[in-house]
Amino acid sequence: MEQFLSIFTEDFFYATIRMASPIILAALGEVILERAGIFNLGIEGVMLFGAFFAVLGSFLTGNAWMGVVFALLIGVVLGLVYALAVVTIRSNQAVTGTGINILAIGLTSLLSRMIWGVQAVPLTVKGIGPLKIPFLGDIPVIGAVVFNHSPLVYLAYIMIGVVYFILYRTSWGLKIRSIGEQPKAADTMGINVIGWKYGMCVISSMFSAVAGAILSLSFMNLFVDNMSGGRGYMAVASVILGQWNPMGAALGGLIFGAGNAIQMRLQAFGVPIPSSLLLVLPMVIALIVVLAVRGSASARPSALAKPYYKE
Amino acid sequence: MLKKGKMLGLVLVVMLVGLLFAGCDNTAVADGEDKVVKVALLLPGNINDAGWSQAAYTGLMDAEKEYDIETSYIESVPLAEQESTIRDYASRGFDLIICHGSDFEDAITLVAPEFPDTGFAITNSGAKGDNLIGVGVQNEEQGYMAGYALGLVTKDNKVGYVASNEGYAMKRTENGFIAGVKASNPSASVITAYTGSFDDAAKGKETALAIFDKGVDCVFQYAQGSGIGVIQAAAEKNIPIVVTSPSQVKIAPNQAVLAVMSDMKVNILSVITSYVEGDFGPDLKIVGNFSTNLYKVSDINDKLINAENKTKIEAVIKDLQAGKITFK
Repeated sequence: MEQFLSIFTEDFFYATIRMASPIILAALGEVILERAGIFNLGIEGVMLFGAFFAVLGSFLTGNAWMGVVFALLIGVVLGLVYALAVVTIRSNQAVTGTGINILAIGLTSLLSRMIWGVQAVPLTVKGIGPLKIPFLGDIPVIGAVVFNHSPLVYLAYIMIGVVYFILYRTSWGLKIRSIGEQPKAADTMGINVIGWKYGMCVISSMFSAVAGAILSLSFMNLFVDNMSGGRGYMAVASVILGQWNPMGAALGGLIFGAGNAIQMRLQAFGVPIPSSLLLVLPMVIALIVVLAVRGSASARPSALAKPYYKE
Repeated sequence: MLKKGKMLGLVLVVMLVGLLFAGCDNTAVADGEDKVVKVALLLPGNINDAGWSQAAYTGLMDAEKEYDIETSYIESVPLAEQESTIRDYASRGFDLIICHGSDFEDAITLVAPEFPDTGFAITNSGAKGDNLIGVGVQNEEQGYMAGYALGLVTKDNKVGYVASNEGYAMKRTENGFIAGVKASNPSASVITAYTGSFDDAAKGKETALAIFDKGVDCVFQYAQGSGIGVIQAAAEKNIPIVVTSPSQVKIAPNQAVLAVMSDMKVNILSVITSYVEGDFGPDLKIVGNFSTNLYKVSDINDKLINAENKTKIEAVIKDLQAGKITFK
């Protein structure tokens, strides 16, 4: 037990906050989108695209922040493609999302080889490293754990509050939520349902693309094939786990981050548990939490995943 | 209206899937001659993973330059699709199908008897059949070399091993690694961690940082694509690391103790050579280890290894090459 408690070092909390950030950012985007009645399984692929274009942008311009701009742009493009497919053409959302994921793996690998070739070592670019916040960063323990991250990691946590505020404290949020619950009623009230759905697709896709940039520019400074590693799916799970609430989704992201940080340190003890079991620990924890919160009334938007027909 | 929408959606999906295959399946164009030997290579990972799969890909490319053959390769073949992929290549008339890694063993032993006129080979396996050969790889030797060197480097007697998953090759390498550490430093303990991924570099980095947090002061990475993250973590935290290729040394030039390369292209090349020259058959035996030049050591870092230890390491390399160190 004492040995188990020794897991929780400063470094553990630092790693948890960092590892959770891309999942949180992607999950926040997904919350906004699902609140508007659309769900996107393709954020895993959008993340991968974002990771790739962030590195490409940094490579072409020599400026890591231009990489983030590139990620945002590809986010806009993918958001429009997705909106076209599910809002206008009204194709099945799960299938379209899966299509984006498959496309992402193939196209980013192909493009990276076309641009950089098959290199012995992946090409490294300028990344966005940790930035210690003045004064706050000097607070003992907390300063090192909380205020010494990459700016993109801070962004993920700041967005929790921003998304919460927009969804629950502004008229925009009210419109978004009404579209997800009763699109016909919203339409009757004069809300441009199709327009808002397009907008939410684009915005949520931008969130996921920047989440990908966190992976490739903040955690690393390079692109590796398929580097999103399932974090997009964890983000989708976090949304359900957090009951379509930005705070809850962020908590879900933190559970995955902490679960992974615990798992990695348990392996380091050499505990006689097979590594494959430890590797699924974050998913097991998430499953337990889902079962625990299931009792409460579901906050699932009523019109989620239903195509909208304007009459 | 709805039907039209669905059709459009379907077309979109088909196009997307088509694009994926366009990205993965790279078939060189042939002139349609019957004589040209067609070789297919199935890889478990990506051709730019700076390790296992990339080495095999390089071997295939070298063979293409050397012989009049037509080649095709496919990357990241998932377990569930191994069988169908092998069968697909065989029925498309490929003469020699090479699967890279013991993961393919079940699938290839199942499919090989169905195509008696096709040659099948699998690396890192003892599989055998009328038209199937297993190319043995003595993984333990690579691990032993890395472990021996890190046993000399560690100060706190805590040595780390980070691998991708608990597969056959990784486990054998680990066994060799532990034996190597014990040989040079009996009081050192080995801490093992798996990333669970062949390509998640960020997770590889986090896993390495986690074991450094637990007091590991030097590490050996055998984690394929995710290992790139392990090397970056070592470079960031200034932790000595043993890598598996000279190119990886460039990621952490000051921390890389040495590189134990496995030149898998040697094995791929010798399989293709034997096929082209007509030696392919159930009696063919190819084994890769230090004595066959599959494994080589390079870039011994004088700043991390002093002259006395360097002599010890060189002696071990000689012993391995002479086959004096054996594993069960």
